[in-house]
Amino acid sequence: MDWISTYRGETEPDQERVGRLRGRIEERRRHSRRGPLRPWMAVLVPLGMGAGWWGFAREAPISERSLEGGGAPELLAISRDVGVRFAGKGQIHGTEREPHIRWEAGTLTVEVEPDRGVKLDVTTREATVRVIGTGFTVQRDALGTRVAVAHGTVEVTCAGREPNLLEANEATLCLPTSAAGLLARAAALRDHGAPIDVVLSTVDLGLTGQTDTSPVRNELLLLRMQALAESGDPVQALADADRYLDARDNYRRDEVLRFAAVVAMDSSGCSRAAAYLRPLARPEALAADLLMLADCSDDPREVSALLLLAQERASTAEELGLVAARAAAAAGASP
Amino acid sequence: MATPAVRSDLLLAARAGDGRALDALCTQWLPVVLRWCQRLGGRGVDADDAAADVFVRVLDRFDGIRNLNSFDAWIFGVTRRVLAAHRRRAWLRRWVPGVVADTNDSAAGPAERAEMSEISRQVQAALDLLPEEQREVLVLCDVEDRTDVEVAAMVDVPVGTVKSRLRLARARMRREAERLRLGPDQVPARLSLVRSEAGDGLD
Repeated sequence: MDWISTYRGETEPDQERVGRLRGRIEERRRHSRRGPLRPWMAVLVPLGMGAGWWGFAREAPISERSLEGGGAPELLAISRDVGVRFAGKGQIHGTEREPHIRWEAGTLTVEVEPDRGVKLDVTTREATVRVIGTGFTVQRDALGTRVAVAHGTVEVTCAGREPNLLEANEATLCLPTSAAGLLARAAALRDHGAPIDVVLSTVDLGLTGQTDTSPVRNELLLLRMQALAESGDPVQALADADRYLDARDNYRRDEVLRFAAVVAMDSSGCSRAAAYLRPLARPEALAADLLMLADCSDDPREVSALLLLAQERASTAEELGLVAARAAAAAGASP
Repeated sequence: MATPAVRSDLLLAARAGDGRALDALCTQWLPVVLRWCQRLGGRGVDADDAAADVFVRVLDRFDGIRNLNSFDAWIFGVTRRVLAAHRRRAWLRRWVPGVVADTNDSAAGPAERAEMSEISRQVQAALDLLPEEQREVLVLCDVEDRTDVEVAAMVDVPVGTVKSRLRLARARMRREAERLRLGPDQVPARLSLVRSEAGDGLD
């Protein structure tokens, strides 16, 4: 027997159940016939008044308020037709018939009572979700905006895309479109251990259309440089370092010089690292800079002076240890 | 065919207030309405309560029915409206603070659920996941063996719409069947047709 036949047979009501139900119906009808007034007449006027009030109330504006909760999800009944659970941050405004939610971060679950004409939308930077009668969850984090439908149907419009209908148990992810959003997504992907090509493609998407003066562009270059170095591509990593150093407003210049110097020393030795080390040779140099400069110097007196300065600048036991070890090696090597 | 044939003389007599005719109609149609409520009600709806509400309305308003030829469409319409109201109430119960959430997964009551096999429970759970309009046509066509023309009249949409909803519902049901591991060998012949239809981009 197939499962529809099984289901059909087992959902066929038996005589006893039908008989019981008939008794209930008869009982209710007997009650409804009592009294000089037909019950619907007694109910009609208040219902009419209620409907009028209801129509008015549904147009009533919702006072703009913040939805903010960090710990356990909070429950809020926005109106009789709309309920939300949230753990994160957002704002709500609009009317009871047309509530608008701006969701910034975290998880938001929305339940809209079906067939009541409620037009609710949830907007994030990456997506707009429009709904009439359904339940769904919007989760926004650095990776983008994820919309998952529990029941009903919603229309999801990812920024810059065509609207897409999602049904129950379906989900979609709207990727960030701004350079800053893509930077955050790329950083989150890297933190989550995503494959390097996925991180790089996200960074490259963010770099598209960015001007040389954009701070986000510089941060994207930094991320790209780090990802490439970690993936074993020092040539490309150093090329990105050079692009960063050539840019204006490169306020993380020293960090990049230091990072590029390490990458260059590891891959090609001091000859390649010299270009990055030279700008670091200045009075306010860090112990780490001075150690690298000492590593690449052929002059014993210069090495000795650099190590002495490094010892003064060392701020941690680890740095002191490194300086001491380098000094011991220099002493052993000197004639 | 699950719908009883309705004699026009019976309907005329019932509309005129003949108690015996009303009684006969009740005997014929109460099981049908109860089936609809159970299969179409959805999560948290008590099928018996809903069917009782349908019949109270039907019997109260029977004298207002205009077209006796479309009695099944009329009573199905009443059932839909009652079920919508019950779904709203079930929905509200879940959101009113202090009220224990309804634990029923489907419109079947506890006793009925206990009598249902695991397969039927899973089929009901899968049906409850379908959008309402798709669930209606799937139940009316595939479970109750109505033709698409009959169903179109009942749900008041064009035949083409019924066909497209049915195609979507079958594809969805097949996915749910696979997810619930009902097993391909247990997919009935009508639903297994979806396998060939799935190639037209429905999946």
